[in-house]
Amino acid sequence: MVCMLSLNPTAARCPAGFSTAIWITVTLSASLWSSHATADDSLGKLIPFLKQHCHECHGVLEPEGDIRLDTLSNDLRQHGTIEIWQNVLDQLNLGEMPPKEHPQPTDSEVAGAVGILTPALAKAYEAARSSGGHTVLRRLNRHELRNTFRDLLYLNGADYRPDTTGSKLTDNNGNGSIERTGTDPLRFFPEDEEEDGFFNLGNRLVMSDFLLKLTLNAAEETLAHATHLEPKPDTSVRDFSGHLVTGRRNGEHLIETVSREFNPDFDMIAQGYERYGRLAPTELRNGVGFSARYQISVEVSAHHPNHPFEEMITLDQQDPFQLCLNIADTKNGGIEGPTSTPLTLWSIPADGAKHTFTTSTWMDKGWIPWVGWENGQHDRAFRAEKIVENHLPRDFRQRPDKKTDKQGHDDWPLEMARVLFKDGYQGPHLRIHRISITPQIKTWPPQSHRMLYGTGSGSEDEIRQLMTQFTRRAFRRPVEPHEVEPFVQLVLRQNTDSIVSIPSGIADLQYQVYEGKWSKIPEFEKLEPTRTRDLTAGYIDIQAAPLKEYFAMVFTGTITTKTKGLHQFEMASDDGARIILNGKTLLEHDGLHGAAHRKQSLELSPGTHKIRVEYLAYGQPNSFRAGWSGPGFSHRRLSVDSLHDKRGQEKRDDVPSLIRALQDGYAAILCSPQFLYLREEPGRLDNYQIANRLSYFLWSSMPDALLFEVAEAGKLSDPQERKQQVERMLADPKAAAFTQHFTSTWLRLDKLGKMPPSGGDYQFYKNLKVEPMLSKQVTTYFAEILKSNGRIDQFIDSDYTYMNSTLAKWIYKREGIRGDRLRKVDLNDPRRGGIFTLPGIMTATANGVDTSPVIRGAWFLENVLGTPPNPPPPDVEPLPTDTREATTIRQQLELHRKHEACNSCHARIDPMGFAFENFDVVGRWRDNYKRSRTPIETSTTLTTGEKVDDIVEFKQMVMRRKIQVAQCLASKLLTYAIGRQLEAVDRGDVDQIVETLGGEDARLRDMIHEVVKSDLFLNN
Amino acid sequence: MNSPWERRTFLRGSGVILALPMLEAIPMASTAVAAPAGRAVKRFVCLSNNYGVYQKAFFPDVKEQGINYQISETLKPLEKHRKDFTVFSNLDHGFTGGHQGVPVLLSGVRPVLAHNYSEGNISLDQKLAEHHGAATRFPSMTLGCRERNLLSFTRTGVQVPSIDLRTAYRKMFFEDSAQAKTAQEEQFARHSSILDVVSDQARAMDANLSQSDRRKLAEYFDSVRTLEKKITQQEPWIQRPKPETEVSEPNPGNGTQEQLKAMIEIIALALQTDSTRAITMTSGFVNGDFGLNGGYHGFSHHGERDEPVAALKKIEGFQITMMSYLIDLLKAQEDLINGGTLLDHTAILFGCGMASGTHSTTNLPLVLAGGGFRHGEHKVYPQADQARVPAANLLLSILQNSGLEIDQFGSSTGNLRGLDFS
Repeated sequence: MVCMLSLNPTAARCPAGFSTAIWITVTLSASLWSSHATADDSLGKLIPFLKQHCHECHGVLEPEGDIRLDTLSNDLRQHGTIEIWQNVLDQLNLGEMPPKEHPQPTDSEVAGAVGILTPALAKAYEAARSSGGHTVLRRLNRHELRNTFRDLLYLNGADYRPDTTGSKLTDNNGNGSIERTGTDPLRFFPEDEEEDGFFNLGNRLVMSDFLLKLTLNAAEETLAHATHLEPKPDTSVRDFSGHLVTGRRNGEHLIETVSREFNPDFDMIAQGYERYGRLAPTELRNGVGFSARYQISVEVSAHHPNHPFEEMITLDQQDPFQLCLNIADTKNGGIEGPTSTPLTLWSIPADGAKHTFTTSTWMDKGWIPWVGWENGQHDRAFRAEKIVENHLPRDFRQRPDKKTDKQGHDDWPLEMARVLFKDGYQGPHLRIHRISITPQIKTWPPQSHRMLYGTGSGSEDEIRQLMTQFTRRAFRRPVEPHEVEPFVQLVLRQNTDSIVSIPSGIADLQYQVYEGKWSKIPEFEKLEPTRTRDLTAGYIDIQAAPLKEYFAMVFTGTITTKTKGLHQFEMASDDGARIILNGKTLLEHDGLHGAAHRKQSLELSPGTHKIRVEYLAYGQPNSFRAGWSGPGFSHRRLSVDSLHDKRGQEKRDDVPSLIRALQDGYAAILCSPQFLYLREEPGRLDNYQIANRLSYFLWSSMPDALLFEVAEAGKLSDPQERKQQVERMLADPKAAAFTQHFTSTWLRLDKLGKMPPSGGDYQFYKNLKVEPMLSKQVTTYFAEILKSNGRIDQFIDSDYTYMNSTLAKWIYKREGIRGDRLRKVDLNDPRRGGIFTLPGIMTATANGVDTSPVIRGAWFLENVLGTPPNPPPPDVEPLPTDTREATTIRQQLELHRKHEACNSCHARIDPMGFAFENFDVVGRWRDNYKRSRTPIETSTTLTTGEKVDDIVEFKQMVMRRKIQVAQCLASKLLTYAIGRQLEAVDRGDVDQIVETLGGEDARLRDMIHEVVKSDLFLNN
Repeated sequence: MNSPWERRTFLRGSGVILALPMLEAIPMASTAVAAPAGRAVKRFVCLSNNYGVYQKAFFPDVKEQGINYQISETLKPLEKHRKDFTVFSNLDHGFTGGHQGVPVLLSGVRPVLAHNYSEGNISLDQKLAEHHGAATRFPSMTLGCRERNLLSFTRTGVQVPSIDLRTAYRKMFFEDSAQAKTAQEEQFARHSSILDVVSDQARAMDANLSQSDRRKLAEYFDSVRTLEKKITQQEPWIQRPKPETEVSEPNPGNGTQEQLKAMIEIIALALQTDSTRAITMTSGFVNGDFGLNGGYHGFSHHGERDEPVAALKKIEGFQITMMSYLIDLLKAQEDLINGGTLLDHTAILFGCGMASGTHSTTNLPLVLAGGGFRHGEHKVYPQADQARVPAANLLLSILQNSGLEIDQFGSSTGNLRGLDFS
């Protein structure tokens, strides 16, 4: 854990003799190698020193400050003892003890004592963190929990993407009002406990009543989400052709607007997209009506790769035209917003012929597909009037003066654009002829529902069978009947009602609309309906009328009762309404009024009953809500809008008792320790435990059916089988969870966003939502090496990187990168290669305001070379900084290293950080410090004597340490895979892995296979 | 319980006319009508920020101890309450770590060392929440005003997330519909039966676990039991009416200035209605407040340059002004449980666990008002390393003053000497 560099004038607390000393504080984790420390015998060597300099005051007679050093134990397992020893070390470091009036130890004596005490304490602190060489009962962290919910309940959607990091608390409107909205069931969860960047260490993760309550709520919410009582959605194709866009869109090119006057059959795309220049059907502006997998087809043609406009349009004419299909959430920024996600890139032959491309994707309710021209030109200078002026001079005329001819002045750009269409537009462009989307729902209710509720018979046998299957998957291992029985009993207890299956809504529902302005429900027999239709959804819906106000409606249909008894009907209408059952008025609230609630009960016999609802809408607002209940079933909706919840969501009240009871049973399973914790007994792991390790390692989720099968057959003890499974799992989209979370762990991307840059020169960072791109860039870099089984040294340096237009423009100052999609780009700049200098890393290792070689140096030692520096003396005062004087950080550090006690660590740390100083807090290159305008000097000499001048030489230096980098990566992978800190004795496994891989030639994918082969992975 | 509370009650006392529109008639939100025999009901409010203070303007001169000290520039707004607050010099939690000091303010325990303490790094407000239990509708309130509140931790080290102004208001005053209440009751009943089953599951699991696994499981057990207890405690509150207020729902507004003021009023309302007895609030800054351009974190790295120093003084000065405003409000309000004023029984602590934007955690800014302590002084504690007094001693004193019979809290070594209370 690298924290802020802290510098501060020492005058207040340093004794005179050390007044020039600068203490620098870096909170670092102790080494990766924990060990079990007991009494530390090395401390015995300190006895002569303590005797000579300390015992006089801190001895048996009236010890100063009540601190006795003559009897101080060297058993550093005791918290109190560590504290006193730490205090001794701090005093020595500070030079405060022995007091000045007493004989002073020599510098080398102090250095000797410090040299013994520092590592001894470091070891003791590590021991305190050790889990004793075994992985402790490990709680699923929130990513693992979310993914496990997804796979267990067969869920889909943006909230459950494998690489999601969950909904962050976001300040959407920039006014500091933090929002926790959204549909991620874990949106209220706090961050998990972290150690050295790992969020999955068993002994570190905790549980609390607060977290348990959140889990319970999340389980209930997720189960409701997986339950589908609504009728099957309308799966007919939605076709958008001709002009997809009605009215001018924000960010559309004028040529594209004018195109519609000339071309009735398509919409044109004449430019590439950035935040703007995106095309989506206007009719779909609120997104799709329900969540499902959709097939999306786009009919498109490409025209005029060769064009007469020469310099006006800088299109690389060799490239095929590329169309990018994306989806975005209309409720969260829409197609220009941060949810926009590229799906597919299609190459379109520029032959002018229509081509149809099809793909399929899950879209949540409210999401919308959009297309953009990926490699089209995006240039402000590209304007119709300029083209006309330069290439059609005969048709060009000067813009009329605004004062004398306002209309002419305003129309002029349009007029010039029209000139271009006289004989057809000659510039390169794409024509979008059609976008169609088809929901793909094969079975209803969906798998999630069927798995939870089966046939809905409610028989004890079926309940037991459903619960057994679910428990087995939830506990991720075979289960005994006695483990399932408590959940079954819970369901049976909770299921209070007899099982009455009442179909939801109204059967054969039909409606008529009558237009007119009445103050009472009119006599419908005398009127002619303007519309008569079916309402297959089965719920009364006044919005089915084509009018907002001044109309009336009649709904007719049937409802069925199963049991004789008293049934209650309720309604709330604005304005008048009546419910007529079997020809008799049951409930009436006529006239003009607000939505008052009325109820009426009556005795009904089993059978089918005719229901008729008459409704009157006067001026807005208008609403109608109704429902009923009866013996054996609680409140059921009759209308689209529920009486109990205005948004019309399924409420528990609407849910049949059996389903509620089963949900309670499932919720209990999802909150039981067997589900929430991964459990591994010490010793050899069984096949199911290996399956779990594998799946939480590579998917951050539960094993799938196939992995279960293999485990059941006992095949996972076979290394060959494991290798095959690893290959299969890495090829699965779920492996994006590994790329996301492991990369973030290794390189500490969790720091990103903790102290984001803001204001001034960094405004773009927030405005353009750069942060997710930075993180994505790092994970993409990692993912590509993983995919190609690249060599570990590709992390150190490369002649490529990944960027999109925003990163190219704002970070790399590079032209010609188009579109939002991150793509591989050749580098012409040796300073920029490798993963460690990516802007995401540079931002995560800065604090949004300043950079520091100490932080970046310590980050590098710890996470890349695996040799973390000793923690700083905890009791040193941070310093600085009066930056009115133009002292650079470099000058301060030079001063600092003059002090022997500081030098031992900082001589190692600082040189590892200087080379990074050319990257500012968001990773842009700089040659000078902005505030002081002093040039940045990066040359330095390592403790080994190697001279490093700049970042290029720095990378060469790291190249000479490939093995060390590989070992560090291997130990991080192991730690991540087994969920505990490595112990000193585990070091052999790590070295073994790297050696097997051929040391310097180690490759990433191979390394994962070796990790899975290792004893550490197979044992606990 | 339903004694009509007139508007003027809030104006009585200090003689100032307050801008805060108050309650017409307030049914007390708490169960406690009168103080339990002989012991006053105490409340606690912590006002904080995440970046410390510009120390040179904040602290009075260390040479001026006791009552005759010259008030500092930043604390000027408190001058009128001079007899009702204490400012402390040279108290801190005794370690470094810059921003990591912020979450340590109310415990004195770093999260990484929490396992060494019997109650982990539980924060003062959460300790009080445990103490007051079901006495109020909300055992505690963790509020953030344009900032994340990082102060509240449970005894297992989980951070309590903060809520914003509007959410606080709604929780306190929006009466749920009868249906929502029934649904809540059903949910509690449901959760209770689920927790029953779940704790049986944990017992079954416990049988053959290794020792360290068993410790983890014990943590889970504890969570189940605590949650069961909390459900039992909260259950009766569902049907009790919430207090009514004529203060309308605060507008989130655009500036921290208005929002912080509204937040202070909400805090006063929460105490007045006895909706809770433990509140923490952290306030921040958004670009544009006070006509300033920049970010709070940026300003805090002031490097002694004029512009950011002036900005910090403005921001911190306003935070202190708001503390003063809270004192105004509580002074003017009769304490219906204990008698006297609300201020008499409410300790207000202003502080931050990082002393200044230079990442120093030495000499934390700490100002304590009200609560029945003997105030009026600038208390200066020893500066020398060996003799330094842990700031956690102040926390212990506040807890003892709140009626907790404990002699240790967090990293305290005793209560704070020199700070007396009745």
